[in-house]
Amino acid sequence: MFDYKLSPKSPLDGFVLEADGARLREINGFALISIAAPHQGEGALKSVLKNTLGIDLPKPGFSSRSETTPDITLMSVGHDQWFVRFLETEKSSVEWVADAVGNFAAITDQSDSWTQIELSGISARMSLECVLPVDTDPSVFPEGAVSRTVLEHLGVIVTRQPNAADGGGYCFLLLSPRSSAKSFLHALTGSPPFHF
Amino acid sequence: MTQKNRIGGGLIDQNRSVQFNFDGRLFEGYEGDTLASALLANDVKLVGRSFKYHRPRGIFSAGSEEPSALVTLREGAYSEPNARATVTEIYDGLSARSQNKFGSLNFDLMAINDLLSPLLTAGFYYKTFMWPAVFWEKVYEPIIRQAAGLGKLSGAEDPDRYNKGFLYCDLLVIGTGPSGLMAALTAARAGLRVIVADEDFRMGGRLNAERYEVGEMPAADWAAATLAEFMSMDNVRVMSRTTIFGAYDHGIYGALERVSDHVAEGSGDVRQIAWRIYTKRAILAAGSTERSIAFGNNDRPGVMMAGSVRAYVNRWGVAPGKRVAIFTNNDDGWQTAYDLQGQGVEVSAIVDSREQTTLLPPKGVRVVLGGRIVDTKGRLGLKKIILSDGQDVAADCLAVSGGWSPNVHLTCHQRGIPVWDDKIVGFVPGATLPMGMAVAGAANGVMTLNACLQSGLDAGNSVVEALGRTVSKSKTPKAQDEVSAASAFWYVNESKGRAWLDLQNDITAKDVKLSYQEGFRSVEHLKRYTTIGMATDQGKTSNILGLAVMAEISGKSIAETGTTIFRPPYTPVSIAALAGRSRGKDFRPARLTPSHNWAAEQGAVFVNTGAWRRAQWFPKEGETHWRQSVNREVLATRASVGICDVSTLGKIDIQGKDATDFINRVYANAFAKLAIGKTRYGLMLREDGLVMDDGTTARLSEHHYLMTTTTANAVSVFRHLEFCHQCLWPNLDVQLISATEQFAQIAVAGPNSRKLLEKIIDPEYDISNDAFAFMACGDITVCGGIKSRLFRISFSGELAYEIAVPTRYGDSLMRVLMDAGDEFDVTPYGTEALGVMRIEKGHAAGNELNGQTTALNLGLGKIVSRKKDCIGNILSLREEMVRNDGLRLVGFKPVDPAMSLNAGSHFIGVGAEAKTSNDQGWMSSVTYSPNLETSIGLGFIKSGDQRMGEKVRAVDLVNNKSVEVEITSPHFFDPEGGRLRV
Repeated sequence: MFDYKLSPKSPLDGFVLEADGARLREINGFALISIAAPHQGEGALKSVLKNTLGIDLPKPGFSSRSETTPDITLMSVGHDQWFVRFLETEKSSVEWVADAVGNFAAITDQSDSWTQIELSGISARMSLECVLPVDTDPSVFPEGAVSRTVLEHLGVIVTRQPNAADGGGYCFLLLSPRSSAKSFLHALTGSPPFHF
Repeated sequence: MTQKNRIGGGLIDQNRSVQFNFDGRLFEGYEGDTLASALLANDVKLVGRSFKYHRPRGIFSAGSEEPSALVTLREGAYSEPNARATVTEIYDGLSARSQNKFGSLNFDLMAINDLLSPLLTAGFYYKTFMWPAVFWEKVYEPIIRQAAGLGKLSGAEDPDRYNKGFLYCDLLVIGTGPSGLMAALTAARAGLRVIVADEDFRMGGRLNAERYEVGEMPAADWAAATLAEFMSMDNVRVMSRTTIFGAYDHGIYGALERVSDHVAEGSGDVRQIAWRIYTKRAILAAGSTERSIAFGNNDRPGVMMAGSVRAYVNRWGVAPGKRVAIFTNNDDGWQTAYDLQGQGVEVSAIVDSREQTTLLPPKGVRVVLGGRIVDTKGRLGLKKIILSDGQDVAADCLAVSGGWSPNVHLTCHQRGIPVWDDKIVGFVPGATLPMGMAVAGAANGVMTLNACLQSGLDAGNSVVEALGRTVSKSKTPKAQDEVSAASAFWYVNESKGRAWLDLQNDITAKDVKLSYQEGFRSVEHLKRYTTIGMATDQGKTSNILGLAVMAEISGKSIAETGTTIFRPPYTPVSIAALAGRSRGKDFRPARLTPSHNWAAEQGAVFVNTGAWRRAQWFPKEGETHWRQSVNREVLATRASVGICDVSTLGKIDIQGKDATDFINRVYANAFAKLAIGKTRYGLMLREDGLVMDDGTTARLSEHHYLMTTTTANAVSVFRHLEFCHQCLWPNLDVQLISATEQFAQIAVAGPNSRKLLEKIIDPEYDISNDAFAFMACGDITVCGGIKSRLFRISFSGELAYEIAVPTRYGDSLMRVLMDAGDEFDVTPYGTEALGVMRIEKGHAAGNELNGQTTALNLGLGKIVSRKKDCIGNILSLREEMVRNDGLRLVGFKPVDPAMSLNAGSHFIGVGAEAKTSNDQGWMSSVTYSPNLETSIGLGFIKSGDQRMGEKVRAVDLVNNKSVEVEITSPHFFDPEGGRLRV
């Protein structure tokens, strides 16, 4: 028997672009697992998440971060639905989450469904102004805020991450469907300061 | 050329010379000049020919209301027709040219229209070009269009780039005159997020055009200092060169920012940005626009608005004439005389329509009270004016003031109707304003400086309070209120010659009279009959005159006559700006399959299926026609094995304790007893009983299913399921999420498909026919542990599987399958071959599931379960939908196998005439079958299932083709399905 191997491929081949005050880069290696609360099961899910991962269920429009493992975040993405985001390990990401939440949530792997792009820098907000119909002013879109909307006809989940430690400005994580990742990237790179 | 009318002073930088070109002549202006101010400085008064009569036209105003000085800017593909010279910033190398002339601007051959004016009155098109009717499109219209129409487009693709964007604020302040700046300052200092926008490149509104003092400094300096303060504040965004062109629902405003119109073309910068501004509150401080007075030949170059003359003198240091006369019906017109004389410009007369005034005339200036101008003289520019008593006054510029009209436009954008205010003799905003909007200053009928500042302060404070901030006790800076008495005088009845109302559309007082005479007396009819106010200036300087003339004729007041209202945009917005980046391939995004790169490497031809780009076929060397490639792909798949990326099919992950019940309710056929590890074909109906979509659904575990949909309906089915879950059955325990993007799914079809898959599936998984029978599904691993799913389903009619791996491995899986399948001559196939094979098998697809067909039409009536309820169940039983002689999906073969079939053909009885009453159905899909070596088709025909072997004609009247066909089973290939189950 041949020893056939499958090699993974990222949606944007590790894209990185820097321009005046802004940086775009594809993020790889983070799992995205959807957890959805069963009918009338949000309370139980909340308890189990707190107990196992040390994380609160965020309210709509926000994300929360694990108190015990800061790399784990939980994003509110819909009615009774959240994405758990964490660094992938050798272990199956779905099983990792299943171990944590057991039968208290419907679990679906979304890690390969989205392209993950980070936009950071002092010009990051200016860059988003041209494409994103979301008010990213810190007074209304603080760290941890999440918005699910469309960007140039493409679905997007945007969340504000902690500012860069070196004072390098705002940092946003943008998730958009994988199949249209190149069009999504084109929309971002067509905005200032990248394209002009 | 020297700037002979430049008088110095103003707010321009006379140390920075700018060279530009007008009609082929080189001129000099200064940085800060508009094209109009620079032309006036160079004593150029004639700048164009009018729309209809080709009359000589000059510069009429100093702002965006300009109806007359319309020019074409720039050259070639960059050219822009009908640009207003009064708002065009000059830059080195700017090229501009006059419009609508045949011959030279001075001797326009089409000026003959002016002599024919008695024939060319309002409505003449409708009356004159009636016969013969066919001449309208071919003869009359082209001639009329050639004669009229002002500037012309280049016809070349616009080489500039445009953008759009989204902004958010607590308060949008529209206009930066005294009230706008005061309102913005108040809100900004209270900590609100403020956007301040002004259409001008120098913000400050009339503060830059008048000799006012504010806060014990020149008004322009106060404006500049206030703007400087804004620039230093993080909570204020200052947007010059930005027109707020529309007020839309929920406090959303449209704005056009002209980013690089003021620099040489080809700079590479984005030219304009169309912003959508989301506001909590807006203050309209758009000021007011001066209007004219109608009198004989009041359109001659040199006749200008009085406030504009002041602006040219005070802001641009330009005297629009050497000897200026004033014609006014109000106090403000006199200010022009004071300012001109203050700058040493001769004022030859002040003609005031009022019988008396308390104002003192400037020294040495002749004043005619109760005066009327009945005519003007000068072929290409004003030389003198004629008064009603027959006297003439020499003047090369006439400054006319008919009073000021508040700029209420944006208050009308949601059907607000302005109301007449006798005090200011003008329309002010009505009580109904767009949500969150307040109006301040002159736009609200507050016509003097100090009052405007107070109005801005009050409006700003109201917003501060409404948004929960602390109102400060600050007062307005010190300023005076100027004299401002106005009177209602619109039209000199005793005029000699035509009195012009709308300079852009060439409408005269006589046209309004004709409109009245012909019965078009309401303001709405007047507007459409004469086209007054319908040009791109929206009648900013002319509407009131038209209403006033109509009111006078009909013996009503203007308040009784009423007004038309304004629609967006406030000033013209190019289609390019509205499109932004959405042009060419950016018009819509593309979805690429996981194996896209691999397919492109193979030279695949791609087809758009919705947003997806799918491989249509894979041409091989030597193949000169797509049919050759497709036939090869079909034959190779049926002979051995073919692979096709089917990741585009919708996949919906359904979980929950009530998932089975849920699926059973949304599908028309029964799902309650589907075993774990099995897949079933599902047919979904709409509420009206017609077929919505079909697909397969796999039961992965007790409470976990994976539904597939057609590519086309992936989104609509998901939306439908969400609707069912959230609105119809919220108590069911069901969780839905799209998994379309999560898996790369490859169809592996053909007699050798199992052998191929066995080479990559890890050996612990037995996929033999016994262990993994037709319609089985299950979790597997491939290539040493990669988690995958396998479905034994077939669209091709062959022994076939669909294998799904996480998308990141999709590209690799395709390559591995090609590598491993080499010994079987594995063949990649595209959507065309997929289509051929499904038609050979009689499977319905998009052409058949077209939203008009029922399960019975499709021959699937038997699978619809009547033992349970489902979406569409009741309405699918309507009498017309269950009739025995209804349409049925069947197959068609040409009687002569050499004939080809056309999709869209209609079935007509042999010997019957091809007309609607003989129509029996239509051909929905056709293909050439390389297995049967003939064209075959699927189609719907009345009672088709009872007419096997009957012959009818397939008639395609579009292509004038008629083919005799035989009705057959839709299952052309392997009708027993033996190949599926081996």
